[in-house]
Formats: sequence, structure tokens, C-alpha cells
Amino acid sequence: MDFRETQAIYLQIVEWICEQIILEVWHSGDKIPSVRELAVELEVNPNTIARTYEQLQSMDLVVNKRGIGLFVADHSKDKATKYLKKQFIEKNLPQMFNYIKLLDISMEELNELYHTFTNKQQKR
Amino acid sequence: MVEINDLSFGYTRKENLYQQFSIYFKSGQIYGLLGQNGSGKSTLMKIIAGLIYPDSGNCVVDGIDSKERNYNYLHNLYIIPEEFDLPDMTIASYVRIYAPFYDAFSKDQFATYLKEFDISPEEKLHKLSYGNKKKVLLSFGLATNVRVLLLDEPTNGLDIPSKKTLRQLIAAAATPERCFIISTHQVHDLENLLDHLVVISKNKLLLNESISTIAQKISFVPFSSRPAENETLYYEKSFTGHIGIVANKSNEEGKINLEVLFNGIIAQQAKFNQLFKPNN
Repeated sequence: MDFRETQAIYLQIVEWICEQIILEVWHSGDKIPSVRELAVELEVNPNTIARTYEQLQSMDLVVNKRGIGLFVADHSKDKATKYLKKQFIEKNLPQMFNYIKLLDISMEELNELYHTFTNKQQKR
Repeated sequence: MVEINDLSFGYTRKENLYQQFSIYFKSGQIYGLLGQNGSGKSTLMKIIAGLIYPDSGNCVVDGIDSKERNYNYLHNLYIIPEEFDLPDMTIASYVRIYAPFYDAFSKDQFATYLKEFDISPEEKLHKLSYGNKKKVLLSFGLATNVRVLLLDEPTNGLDIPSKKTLRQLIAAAATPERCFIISTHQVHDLENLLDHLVVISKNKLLLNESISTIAQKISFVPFSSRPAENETLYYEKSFTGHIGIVANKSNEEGKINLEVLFNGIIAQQAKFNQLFKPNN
């Protein structure tokens, strides 16, 4: 995993897990990797993953079944989508809007570009 | 877990590298020990390892003074120095001779780690390159399962894939009972593994703070043009313009740019001292 420059690593991993849930790599009811397993996979400090998991629990994306471990919560896909959407609107969109304004790109042009993009993705 | 109290030490009588220096290292933490060349990082590690003694003051690990230099002190501690000499023998002989000093040494773990680094246990130590010798020592050190592991420039000499292997091995080995102290100039090699930063400069403790506290207090922001006076605590030129360190006014923690932070602390000691003072 490549970490970006701006956001704390534990939060970047929260977003990465949300993506895994939306992409259905991780499903509701799945047991999630242990703190150590994920720390080794992502080459980060285990305390960082512990913080990521605390955050996910506070977001109700992950539940702790006593004695067995952590599991992906019910309706996780909706919750993950809602969270990432909020992050995107608050953090990424203003930057994109800045550029769109700067380069004076019309909504029609943007719409067209977006259609071309999604068509290309479907063909893959 | 590792307590250094009022340490004074100098290699010559004229110059004291440390004078009345104190610091405490907790278990369950990975410490990054940073400092310029000659700032005393390796000396501090050698003092903790019991290789050199304080002129005054002491170093205590789990209640035992380093001056005792006894079994209880030494069997739970391992140092991988930056410069080392290995005896002329095979890796297997080395392990046969040196592993018994460490109660919790695991031959299975050692074999696994060597394999991860792609080194055969049949090899003769003297025939290995510096980087490969380092991999043997790193594997040995991690396999001792000691509670205090001191790593002096552990990524020096390692090739790109072995740096990744080392990160994974450290992530797997860091447990709540253990304390890792890692000195490094290659800040990007291990930055995502650190819990806590210690910056020293010839007897001065310039910073001793957890990564999360640092990220709560300051953030790193790009500037397209040179920042104005007092706009930043510190700034330097970057690829796309300037990057500055400013007080973090949000509730969210960002990612720390270790290189810029280090340069800032060295250049603006008073400002950072003020900001990271206890109870601030």
C-alpha cells in the first residue's frame, strides 16, 4: 500500500478497508485479519492497526464478538459508502472544483468526460 | 523499561557528550532515535547495551543497573550495531555458539527469517557482503526474542526488497512486552513503524514525543510561494514550491513528514521546544 502525504496512516487504512468493503473483498460477517497480520501485510506499526480497528468499531463498521475476534458488521457496504462519500465531498471535491474553476471546464464537458470514463471501465 | 538517569559520559576528559541526561523508554513502543552525525545516538545505544559505562548517573533496564552486566541484564537485550565484526565461521556454527546466551532464542524463527532474506544457513560469514551479514545479524537479533532490541541504522546496506522484509519482520515482532529503539538516517525506510520520536543533539533532548501527539500539534502544508514571516514554524523548498510546518488547528491528525520535521527541529530548536514542552 502506498501512503499519501497528507492524512494520518491509521485513517488512510480506515479508508482502504472501506474500499475493500465497497468492492466486496471484505463482506459483512467476515472475520477480519488480526492486528498483527494486517500490520505485517501493510508494513506498519501494529499499534497503528489497533487504532484503525478502534476507529472502525466506533463507526460500527466492525463489531467485537467477545472471545472470537472482530467481524465486519451488518450493512457494512452502506456504512462504508456513506463514510467515504463524506470524506470525498469534504476533502477531494473542493480541490477538484478549484481546478475545474481555474481551467474553466464546463459541466457539459465534464459530463461527457465522465461518460467516456465509465464506458471505458465497463469494457474492461 | 529502559531508564537513563542523570547520565554523564564523554570519550575524552575534555569533552562530555552527555551531561545530566535523562530519558525513559517504555515497553510496547517502537522508538525512532534521530540526530545528526556525531549527536550521540550510537553512544546512547552502546550505553543501554552495557558496552560502555556512564561516567556518572546510570542506565537501568527492568530494575537492573547496566553496571551489573550480569545474566539478567544481558540475556534480555540485543544490539545490532552499525559497524560489526563477525567471526570466520558458518552461520550454523555462529548460532550454535551464540544462541545459548539468549533463553528465548528460536531456531525455527531464525531459519524462517534467513529464508525471508534469501540467505542459506550453510554460508560462511566472511564470504558474505556487508548487506548480507547485516541480514544474518538482523535475523539473529529478532530470533533472540529479547525484550529490548537496539537497532543502529538497521537498513544500512540492505537492498530494496530486504527493506520491505525487515519492515514486515519488525511489524510481526513488535509486541506489548517489547521495546525497540531504532536509530536511522534513512527516515523513509521505517517511518510507518514508529510509535515515538526521540531527537537528540549532543546532550540535548530536542524532541521526545509520540507520533500521534506530534500529529495533533503540527501539520505539514504545501505553499505555492514562499510563506510569509511567522506564517510557519519552519519551511523549506520542496519539489512543487515550499513545505511548511504549522500548528495543527483541526481535530484530525495528518501524516508527519519526518525529514521536514527533523530539519525544522534542528533549525528552530526554541520554537519546537516551546511547542512540545510538557503540559502544553
